[in-house]
Amino acid sequence: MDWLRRLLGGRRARSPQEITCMEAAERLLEFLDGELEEVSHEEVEAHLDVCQKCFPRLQFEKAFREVVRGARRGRPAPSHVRDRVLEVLGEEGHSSS
Amino acid sequence: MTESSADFEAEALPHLDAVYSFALRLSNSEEAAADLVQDTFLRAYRSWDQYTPGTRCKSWLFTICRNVFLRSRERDRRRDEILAESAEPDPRALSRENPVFMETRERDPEGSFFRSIVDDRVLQALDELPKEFRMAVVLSDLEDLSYEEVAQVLDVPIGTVKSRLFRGRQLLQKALVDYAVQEGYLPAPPGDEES
Repeated sequence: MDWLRRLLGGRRARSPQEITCMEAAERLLEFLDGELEEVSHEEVEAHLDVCQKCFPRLQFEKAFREVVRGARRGRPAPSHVRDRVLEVLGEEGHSSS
Repeated sequence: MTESSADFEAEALPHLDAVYSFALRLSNSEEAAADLVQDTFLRAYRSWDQYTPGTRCKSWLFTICRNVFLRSRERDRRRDEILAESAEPDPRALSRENPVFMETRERDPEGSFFRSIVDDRVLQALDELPKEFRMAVVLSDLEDLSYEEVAQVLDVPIGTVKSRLFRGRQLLQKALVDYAVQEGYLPAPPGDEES
């Protein structure tokens, strides 16, 4: 009769799935890293979906991650490094195809 | 070509570029990175029978690369270990409040200024982080390793990975905030306009 309590102005009981801003913040970085267990991940996600207070911090951490990940260089090793590795391996008996 | 050589070529050599990128971020020097890559693959080849097929070869190569690097910097390692051991805060407490966000939220609540920062500047700030923090951030954010894989590479508990990663990111955020203020992407804090 949760709907009736709300209708009558009573406080809605806290659902077991709901977490506080503090709890969401404590798990925020693990959440963004995809390192939380499924239930915990869903709890944080449900909180962040609706919490205006947590929204700016979430956006801040996301913007930071985007800029760091964007700086990744798919930079290949210079050819002389690759040649040196193959040469040294060749001396060890490795034959490349 | 022997079976062992063929396996090594198929599983290890494709990660040469990733190991080079990691070595470059560790050493901040192209010459040192080239030496590191060479030593890493030489040791990996000699120890290939110790590699467990099916496990993540990239993590194994990073572990070797990290060990070769640290051995070449023995004196620094002692200093860094003392630094790391002296302060290892609770990761969740680090996640709870971010002082860099608190300091900038009045000026740019959602961190939009980050998007104005060019890649070279991000990498420069990353290279200036203390080594233990830099390794955690590079392995997690640039190489996409899980906490567990980073823990294996760095030979530390997962809690230490989280602490170093969260602290490293905060230091990096602080450096990028300073740069953004200097370049005018973010207003200076109130009272600092003259400086």
